[in-house]
Amino acid sequence: MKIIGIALFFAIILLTMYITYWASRRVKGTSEFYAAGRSLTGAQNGLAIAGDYLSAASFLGIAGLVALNGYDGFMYAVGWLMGYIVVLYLVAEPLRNSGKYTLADVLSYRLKAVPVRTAAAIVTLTISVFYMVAQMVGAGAIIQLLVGIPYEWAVVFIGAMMIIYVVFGGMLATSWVQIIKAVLLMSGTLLIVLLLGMIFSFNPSKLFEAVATGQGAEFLQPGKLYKNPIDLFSLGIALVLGTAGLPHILIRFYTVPTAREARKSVIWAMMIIGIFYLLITFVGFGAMVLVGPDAIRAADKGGNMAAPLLAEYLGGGVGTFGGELFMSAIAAVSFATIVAVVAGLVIAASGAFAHDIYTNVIKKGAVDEKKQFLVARYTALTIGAISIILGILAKGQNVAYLVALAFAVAASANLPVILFSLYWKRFNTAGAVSGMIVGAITAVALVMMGPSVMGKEAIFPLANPGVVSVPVGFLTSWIVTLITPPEKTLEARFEELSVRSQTGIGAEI
Amino acid sequence: MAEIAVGMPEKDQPLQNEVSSAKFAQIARSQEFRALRRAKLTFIWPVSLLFIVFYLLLPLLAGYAKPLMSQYVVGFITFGYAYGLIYYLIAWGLAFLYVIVARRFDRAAEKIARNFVGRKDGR
Repeated sequence: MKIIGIALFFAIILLTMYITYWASRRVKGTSEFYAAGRSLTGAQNGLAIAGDYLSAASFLGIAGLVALNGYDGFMYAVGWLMGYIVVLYLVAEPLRNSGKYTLADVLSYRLKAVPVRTAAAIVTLTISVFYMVAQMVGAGAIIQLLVGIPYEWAVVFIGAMMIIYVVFGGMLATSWVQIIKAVLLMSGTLLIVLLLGMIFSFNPSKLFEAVATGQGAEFLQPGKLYKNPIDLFSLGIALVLGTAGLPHILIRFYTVPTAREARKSVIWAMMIIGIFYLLITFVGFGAMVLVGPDAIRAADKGGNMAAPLLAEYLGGGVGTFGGELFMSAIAAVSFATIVAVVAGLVIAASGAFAHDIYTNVIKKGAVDEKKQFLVARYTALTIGAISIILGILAKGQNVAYLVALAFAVAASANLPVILFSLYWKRFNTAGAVSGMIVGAITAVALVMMGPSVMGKEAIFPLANPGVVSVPVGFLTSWIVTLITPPEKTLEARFEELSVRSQTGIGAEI
Repeated sequence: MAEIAVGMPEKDQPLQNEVSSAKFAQIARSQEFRALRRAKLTFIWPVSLLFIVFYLLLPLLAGYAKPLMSQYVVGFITFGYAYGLIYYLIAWGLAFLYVIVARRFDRAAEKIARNFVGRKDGR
């Protein structure tokens, strides 16, 4: 295992480092650093979105959820694709047409720039840090399991990799790392499912029959994992509305030259992400039947080893060359998955600080391009270092809920303000700032008071805050706008934004 | 905090195109643009909202209609699984519907860009 595994890891590291070297010679300024010079095609960006979105939590986590809980894991997987309808219909093209590097670009176009940029940057940093800590902790634990290096070293190693990609190769290198990762992840998953299909004659009913007879029919029914339907409903709200508010996904639309390419990228992403989640549930059911829940639990309580263990089984079993090879390949794919996602998060967070706070709030835009580029790279370095430290500090904590929290904050704080800014003329700065702050605080506070953090003494009964925090975010934006005076002077800017976002006239090149 | 509360949108950021504010205002007032915006909004909003409501039925059914979700429909494939599968098909279907309808919007937007800015892509 160790030799093959290490060889595959080095192959991925060499390939991504070569890409970073290639990209570093092309990244000459902020446009390349934040937006890959708007040079990607729709298909490339679609793959990169899939690479940005499909985290180790999706690959290893959902396979494990299905392997240990059956149907509820499948249902959980469905939600992750659905948010892209909101992205496609309401957000992607207007955003590409009217922004430059960050989400705040769009808001500040028609609202008072300093307060909305500040608030939007804080929300972006909050979401990115939650997401990043969850990734780092998961990554450290998984790499430790798969490769056998200590947790702290795994975190430092992944952190160092992503810092190199981002600081030297910017969005261009990050995009290509994500594209390669998407291809590797899809190939690995497809191969597992193909081998699985050969066992069950490509008939899902046969696989489910094995589940029902071997493990029990209750694994094909809802209720194994989620005992409280309202909690599940609440998670559903965060997933379907949160995707369109995730900064690291939204900034990907700036990497293509036109709104039409942005549209194509969502279509590509939806195909890849949808197929992935359909396949990953087969991986989970396959692991349940062939490896068995007890063996999966013995390797990792959370079920994260379900996919690698299934790969080992399908490759020939424990101790065989084929088994070791396939398991190492899946481990290497997981590693690529993790670094691609964290690199995307670092770029999003860097934009929020360097482009929004430093360049446009502190310096009011009076910074030359060279300085902006330098500050962007220093910010990426700092954010990378912070995420390494947080990852090490959070060792052993159960932080899986942080990803769901990131979606809830995105749905409660970002989405209302994005939609109102793009589509509601009367919307004003007070409504935007209060909506973002109240939405974010409500989501975070409810999770702090909920069972994920407080366990049995929880004040708030749900693990997922969306059912409360999303309406709170929308209503706060709406009510505060109505009770504060309209910004008459800015209404012309709304009309201008409306023309830009709906027609693409004047879009950034 | 005092100076944060004031401020205007960023006029100082130079736009890469030369489309003036007056031109944008003129487009915003035009019949063509208003028709495009109305057509777009009456398509994208109802579809998105209906879809969100439809998606939220899944967790509700799983929670409150367990017997229905547990029924086998074909072989060992349960209603719950088949129903979940339908979401993927509908999401993909809506994505392709959007692509088809958006072509019409693209043509209208190009026409507006040509008429008012003189370039097809308006940049």
